[in-house]
Amino acid sequence: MVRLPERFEAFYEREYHRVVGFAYAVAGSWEAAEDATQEAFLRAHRQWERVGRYDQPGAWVRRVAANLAVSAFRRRLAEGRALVRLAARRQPDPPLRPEVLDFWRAVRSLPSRQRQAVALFYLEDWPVAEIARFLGCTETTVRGHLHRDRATLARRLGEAWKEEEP
Amino acid sequence: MSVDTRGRRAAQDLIRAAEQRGPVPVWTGCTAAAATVGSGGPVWPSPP
Repeated sequence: MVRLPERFEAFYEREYHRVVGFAYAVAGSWEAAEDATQEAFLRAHRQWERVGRYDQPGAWVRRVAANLAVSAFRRRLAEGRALVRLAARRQPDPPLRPEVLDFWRAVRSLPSRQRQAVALFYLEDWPVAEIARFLGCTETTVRGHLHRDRATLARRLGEAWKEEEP
Repeated sequence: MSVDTRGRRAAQDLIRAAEQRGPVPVWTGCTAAAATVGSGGPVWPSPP
């Protein structure tokens, strides 16, 4: 049976904030996260006939947004726009509690793909199989990463570490 | 607190913060953009 794509606007409205959150988690900048999210949705929109038929179009947008948000190009672009934004910015950075900032800073200290896996694990509560599909690796690899990376985070943050099945 | 509890709380706070950045930018031109690459896209709210 041919899968009909969801209406793009509904997808965009439902996913927008979560994609911004994910992009912030991996990039550490709200400006870069919003730029990357905007660009990712634009790209999805241009190919919606195809992307909208994927099992997980949200995964496609997150992958594009994450890649853009962490790329040097995106960082340079964000920096270049910073001066303009100083005058035109619509919102100050929302306050995040210090322990929340520390947590995401620790996540960003992980290598890029592991950072994405951990962000998806906590933000989206995705099962291992979905994270593996997102990263293009095996479930065993994802399980290994999540195990080691959560132990690393616990150590760095001084939190308890108890194995939970991801 | 376990790292997983902290992570899940941090995730909730992060999504809430993303929502506090402002409403979802209005998407414009979707109908026309279906046939025209490059048109349409989000419009950021005006500064307060």
